[in-house]
Amino acid sequence: MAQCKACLYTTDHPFGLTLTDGLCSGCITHREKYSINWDNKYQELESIANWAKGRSKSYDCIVPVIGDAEDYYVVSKVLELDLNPLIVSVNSYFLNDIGWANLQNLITYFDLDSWIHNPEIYTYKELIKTSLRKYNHMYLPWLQLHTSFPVHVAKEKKIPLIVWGANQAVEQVGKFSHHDKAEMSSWSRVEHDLFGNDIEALMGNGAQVNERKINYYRYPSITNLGKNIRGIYLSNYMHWDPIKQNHSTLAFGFIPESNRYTFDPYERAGSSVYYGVHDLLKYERLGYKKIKDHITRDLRHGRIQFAESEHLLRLYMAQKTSLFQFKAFFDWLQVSDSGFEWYLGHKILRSKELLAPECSERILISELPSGLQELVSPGQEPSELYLKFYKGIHI
Amino acid sequence: MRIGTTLLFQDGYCYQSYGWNMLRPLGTLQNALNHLDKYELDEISIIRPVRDNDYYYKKDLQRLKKAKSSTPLAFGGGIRSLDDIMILEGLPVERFILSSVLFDKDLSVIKRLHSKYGEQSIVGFIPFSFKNQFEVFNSRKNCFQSAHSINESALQLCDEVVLHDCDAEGRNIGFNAGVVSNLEINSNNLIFSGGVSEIVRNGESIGIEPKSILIENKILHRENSKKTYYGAM
Repeated sequence: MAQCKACLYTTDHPFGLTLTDGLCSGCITHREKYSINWDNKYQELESIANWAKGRSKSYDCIVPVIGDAEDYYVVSKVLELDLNPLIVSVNSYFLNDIGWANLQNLITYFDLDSWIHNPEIYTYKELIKTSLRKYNHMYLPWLQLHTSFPVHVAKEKKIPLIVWGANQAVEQVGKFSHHDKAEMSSWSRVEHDLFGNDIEALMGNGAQVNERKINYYRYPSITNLGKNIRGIYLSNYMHWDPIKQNHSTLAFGFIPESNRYTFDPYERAGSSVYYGVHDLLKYERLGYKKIKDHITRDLRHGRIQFAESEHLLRLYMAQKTSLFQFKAFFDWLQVSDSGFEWYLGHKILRSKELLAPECSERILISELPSGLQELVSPGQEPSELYLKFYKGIHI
Repeated sequence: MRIGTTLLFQDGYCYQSYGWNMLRPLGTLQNALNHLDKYELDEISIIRPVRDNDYYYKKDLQRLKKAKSSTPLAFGGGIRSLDDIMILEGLPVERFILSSVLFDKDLSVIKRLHSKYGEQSIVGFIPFSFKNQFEVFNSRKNCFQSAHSINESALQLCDEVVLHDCDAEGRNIGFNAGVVSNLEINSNNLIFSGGVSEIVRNGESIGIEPKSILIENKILHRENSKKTYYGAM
């Protein structure tokens, strides 16, 4: 295992990473951003938008969302392209009041049609339990839905285009050049979003679920998808700068969430579990947390100096999650107390030291590198967790 | 014309090569094979680059022996001596891709493969570049050299020959068909690779009709079905 000389990533990154003269494929690809003629790329994007317009009687494109700041940015860009989008979201049942407010505000602020899919809860929980047991991963079933349901809708409603925001495999590890214009594909979904574990991995001796209830967890047949339905990533066509873009969405009414595990109050704001549970399990599986992705991202954008990055990583990696917060997820999952104890004893090993009776205090914005401070908002505290559904707007 | 793809496989993982000087990660071999099967390609060429003292080569061959694919596979990399042929036993492949031995005066390796697996089992692989002048890559020596160093008798024993454009490698366009006139080669059994994906997709002509096209890893970059590429032809 070797580390890039310019960022925090190592060659054991789950997406894969290569080094060329000590510089990682992610940093090399990031540097493309400063030599690409983005006006030309935008013209290519306009050509795709023009291709999509009018091909369907209903909508020009689908924008899959979770109510994140990035979704606000993507939707704003889709509307700039004069496309008529359908907003599609898969309910994770993990949103808190901030998450629901952000999702509903996205739909009402931009005045768009939407389709929120609520997965059948028994099957969903069974699949999560199996995913936890087999892979120590709580998000796999939702990721399976989030990456396939919009494609089902596109196919059923004959909508030609699906617009995603960032291609994480490009942004993080430079798996492709921006010039490759890599698109959504069944292969990429399994390789990057599901880490090799499609729904079949959770079936059989795993979850006791009815086959008929997992249709939307499966990606549709790829026959004709390539010709009739395309899924593109805006980050191939724009100089992608997440924290700056996400900060700009405050103007649309996006609410950032106060966060003790990262300095970024925008990404996955409004989730009851992303940082308190999922991120801890990521550390258990992979040995690092989301903060490493955020530091590397802004290190590449020049907002954090390399010398500051190690200190910042140590600071956030030491942040403790409360055992109460962690157990709340297992209570939601209807796991018994003895089942929870078994999980703690058998599945939580290296992250045990990060669980404590109380959460750590938040790290103050004033403690962050100066290059970050102006783009980081304090964020709000959630008041209700694990909301099944919530309008989130006050009339 | 057949349509295939190339997978660069090393240390248990697949990579993508760009411009013959940069590797990018791709993913696991089996996931790539699973999806390439769905795309109904005509062939998949798995290349295992081999360095001196390559301790992981045999381990990768073991991994490859466990690979499952319904698409015809060809394997290349490290086939340089009669001893090397022994360890290829049991690979789930239909054809072998030879590069270094095309430069050898001794034809024993090719002849052994010929007699053991049949005439159609041998595919020559010639990476070329026009960067300075027209040169071909000798992987045993790890350098580009004059095309005159290729043994024409070896080429004649190949069922087909892949001409791989190192300059256009990893790009969507740019394959230099001038290679054919620079090599004294039978133009009826050629496979073009490197910078060909958009040419095929757009239905453009390269001037010479090859028997097959290898679209590198580009097949996995988009949701292509067989119809997407074939429809363009």
